Amino acid sequence: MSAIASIPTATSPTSWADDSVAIAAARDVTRRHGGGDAAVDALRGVSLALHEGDFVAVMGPSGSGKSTLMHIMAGLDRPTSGSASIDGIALEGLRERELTKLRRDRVGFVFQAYNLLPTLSAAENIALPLRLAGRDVDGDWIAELLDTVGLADRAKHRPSELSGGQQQRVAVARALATRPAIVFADEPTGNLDSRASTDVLALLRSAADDRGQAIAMVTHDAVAAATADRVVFLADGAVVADEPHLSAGEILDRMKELT
Amino acid sequence: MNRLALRGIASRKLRTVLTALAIVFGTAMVCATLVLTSTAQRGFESWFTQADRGSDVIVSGKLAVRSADRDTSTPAVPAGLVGQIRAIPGVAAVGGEVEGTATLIDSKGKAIGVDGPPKLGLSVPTPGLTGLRLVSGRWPHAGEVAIDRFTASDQKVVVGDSIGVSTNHPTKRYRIVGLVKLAGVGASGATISVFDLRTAQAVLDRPDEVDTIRVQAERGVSPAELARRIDAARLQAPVTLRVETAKAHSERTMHEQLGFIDIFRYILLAFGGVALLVGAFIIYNTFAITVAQRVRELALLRCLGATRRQALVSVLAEGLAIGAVASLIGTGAGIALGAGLIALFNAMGLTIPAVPMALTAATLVPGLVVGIGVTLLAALVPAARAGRVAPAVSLRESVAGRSRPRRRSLVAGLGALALALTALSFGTLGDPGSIGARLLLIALGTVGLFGSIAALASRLVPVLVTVLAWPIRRVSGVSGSLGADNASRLPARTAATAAALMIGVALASFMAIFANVMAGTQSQQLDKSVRADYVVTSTTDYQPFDGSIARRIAAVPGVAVVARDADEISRAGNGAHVAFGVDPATFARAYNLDWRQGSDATLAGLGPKDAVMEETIARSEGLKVGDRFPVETPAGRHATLTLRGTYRDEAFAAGYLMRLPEWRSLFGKSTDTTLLVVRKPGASLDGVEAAIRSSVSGWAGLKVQSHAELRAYYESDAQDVTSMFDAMLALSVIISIFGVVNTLALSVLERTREIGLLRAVGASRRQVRRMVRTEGILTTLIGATLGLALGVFLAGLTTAAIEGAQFSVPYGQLLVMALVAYVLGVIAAVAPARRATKLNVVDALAFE
Repeated sequence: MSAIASIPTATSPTSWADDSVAIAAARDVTRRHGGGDAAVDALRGVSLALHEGDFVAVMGPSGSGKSTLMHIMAGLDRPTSGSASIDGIALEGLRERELTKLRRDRVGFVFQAYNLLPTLSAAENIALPLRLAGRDVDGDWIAELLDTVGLADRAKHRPSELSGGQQQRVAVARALATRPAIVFADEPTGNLDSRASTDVLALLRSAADDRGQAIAMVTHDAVAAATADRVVFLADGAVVADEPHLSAGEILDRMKELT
Repeated sequence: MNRLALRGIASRKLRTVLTALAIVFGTAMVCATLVLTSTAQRGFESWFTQADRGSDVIVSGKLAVRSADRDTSTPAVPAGLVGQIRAIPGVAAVGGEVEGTATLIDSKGKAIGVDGPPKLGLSVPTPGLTGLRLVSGRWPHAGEVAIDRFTASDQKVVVGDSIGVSTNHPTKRYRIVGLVKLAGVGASGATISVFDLRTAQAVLDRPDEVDTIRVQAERGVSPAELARRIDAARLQAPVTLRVETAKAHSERTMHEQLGFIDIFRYILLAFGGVALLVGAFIIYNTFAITVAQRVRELALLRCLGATRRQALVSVLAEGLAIGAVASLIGTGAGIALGAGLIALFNAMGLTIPAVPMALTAATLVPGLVVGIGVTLLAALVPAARAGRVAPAVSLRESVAGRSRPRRRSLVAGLGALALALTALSFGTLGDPGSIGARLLLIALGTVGLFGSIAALASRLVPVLVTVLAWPIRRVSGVSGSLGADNASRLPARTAATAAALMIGVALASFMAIFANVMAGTQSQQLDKSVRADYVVTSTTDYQPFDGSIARRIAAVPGVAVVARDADEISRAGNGAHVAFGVDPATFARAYNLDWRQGSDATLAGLGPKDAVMEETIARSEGLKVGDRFPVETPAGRHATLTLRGTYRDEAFAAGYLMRLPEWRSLFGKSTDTTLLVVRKPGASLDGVEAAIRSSVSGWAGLKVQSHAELRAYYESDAQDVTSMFDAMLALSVIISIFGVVNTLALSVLERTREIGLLRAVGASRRQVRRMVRTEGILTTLIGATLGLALGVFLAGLTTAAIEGAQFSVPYGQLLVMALVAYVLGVIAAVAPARRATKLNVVDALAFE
């Protein structure tokens, strides 16, 4: 497994269309839920690629397909057509077990609802993906992660003893524990106040900047999206805009145009 | 609001089905037990009423002494009475019949039929006076026999074949000329052989005697009136006569001869109670979980303006609806289960006379009432909790079953435990007065013990999980650890689920330990007391055999001593005690009495009117050496004996010993009950045994056992009892396993999102499966651990209550039970684990 040091820290300005070196990519992905008259097209041919150190925000109104796109790119869901890849490995060719393995080695997740295991302490929650992978848990590494998310003194606390912001920071630390190439964050600030949101976004930003990890973040929050290098707008299952370095104000304007 | 409750059921199909399953099983078990016992009752009843069908009055000999422990045949009466009765005005028909024990012998020389049901030898009945009917052929003459058609078809013999019959006399072959059947009663496990009166009197040793005189009244004379007239005729007989109506007769004989039916019914009801208890646990538990899961929904309703009362009613309405539907299904299932149980009992040899199943209000309604009642009761606590839900809860994350054990419940649990232990100790070790009070105390104490341990178990669960999960955490890593964490997450739920299994395991382990103790105690006693190399008895317990057998065996080369023992129940002092007639000269060479007062010399010097008695019996009768005590035989003869010594032997010689010649004249019997045979020094153990066997080969009803065989017999006997109880307890274990499945399935449902997350962060399906399985295994292991501990405790208590019993634990058997519990945990987890692994990760993560 690649150590942090071996990952280039600078964002490389490679073409977004160049899938071959992309950490995660979707190509012409469609996703249809149900069948017959009741069929709903959640995605109608979406392509997207993320490279090392990319921090991409995915925005769009409810039902625009942003969560579906993330699930497919993360290997949690399978596309109806098109393909998705992680580290250049096509996901559609993988069996369930291989997909699980890929996910646990290369992908981190942060959810809106934190999704920590209530029976485990903060430190144990962070170590969980490593333990599931059967890897030795390096206590220093967990301590470092706790320290990074500012919870060094909360290691032994259960989720119920932590605030929402603290829980989400544990969730971010957990997502980073396996040193994944990419972190998918599904509305990570959706349940948080602005201060806690800022903390969590800063953590994601530094993961991209300092560790070269790619971040894909679904969000409704223009301020959150402005943290990203690039914002992808989805509407009705298709990419309608894809622009780098937008301010919160610009993002709000785009959103208005879309609705 | 009630419509909402019903829609609630529809919208949570799986949860509802699982809750309903618990009720279905509980109700089914109660219903099945009642159907089984009533059917058995009806079967035996119809057997006895059919036997007397057509008779109005029955005249028979009356036993002066009876004991529930020992079957004693009613004394026969002179055949001449039949003629005297015929002359009494109002008598339309009269017939004297012989009724004894005759064993049918198959073509390989082995006794036909199982232990338990009677092997009847009868004389040809008087037409119209019994329900015994000829179904084919004709009634037998000399040298012929009619047998029951069920035995005939089992043995594949038909009219015209011949069959062996063994009584006190050597096996003799008879030609089958007819097949008989008791009207309205199907196969019963009993065998019947019918002879002509003279043959029956000869083979059953009733010279010029009959056992039963059946009388039919003339039209217009009531049975009671006829009985009065016969009474008034003052018939003379050497034994006391009993004149009673046929109805009274069949009821009395049923109760006397089949005292075991009552015991059998109590045992089955106890099992029904166990099933109910187990079922109630599961219903309560499942219901509590489903309500806990709905707390958020209920809180939301409260937010929207529902009153506390409405919340309560909606939960109760759901309980009522589920309870009613599930109880109805359970009753249906119970009928099927009852039929299965009857088949199981028949297969185990505890044959119930075949009659239509007893599907009556009395057997079907209690299950329904219990099913609905328990469901409502089980819904009450969660419903009350639902009423208390604060509206704000709807805004919180998850509150499923998050209730911390309260101090008050600890105090209540410990109090109940103390009460239960007091009742149990007093019931077993103390002196509550009557057997009934003792049994009641023990039953209440046991139920209280189970209840309080179940209530306290939630506090034990974390500790037990820590201990039991230790090896699992070592071996199966993170997924095992997560499963263990889940098991101790809601201790109350895990405890309640495990408690259901605990009950079954506690009773099964109690039976296993107790049987082991009894077998151990008996074989110990055997080694201590029986000096003889071989013991000859009848294959039917206490059935005496011909006196000539002893002489035959004495003539076998290599045999040094044949010590004879003839025994029979009698009244000695105030109680019914067994009188053993022994030969003072030889008895001590074959049997070692544990003397308290006196010695083998006392026995050798025993006079014609002397006796030695078991110490505890002598004490209970208030007799001291030198005292005289009155004796009365079942036939009503009296004697007075002087106590010359006491010994200690509750296993084989619980009673008193007197000289054989005096015993014979007092009891009027030339038969023996047991022969103790000692071989000559140097004679081959196996060789002499074979020689003894061949010398008595003509008597199929005889059993020759060496010392070692007798020991093995006691042990296997104990094993048989254990197996029978295990078979019945298996049902309660099955119910409890469904409880585990329920809890696991509901837990999986409840943790859908967690499982989704685990899968998202890299848990393989196998790891998820292992996690669920670990929780299942830990739940069943907790149940087994508590159950085994309780079983050991109860068996220890019972052993302490029995004098001379040595406590010993069959570790192998208990280990097997623990292993079974482990396997059951694995099995219970299969379906829930499958569900957990099949979850779609995305859907699971979005699950509310």
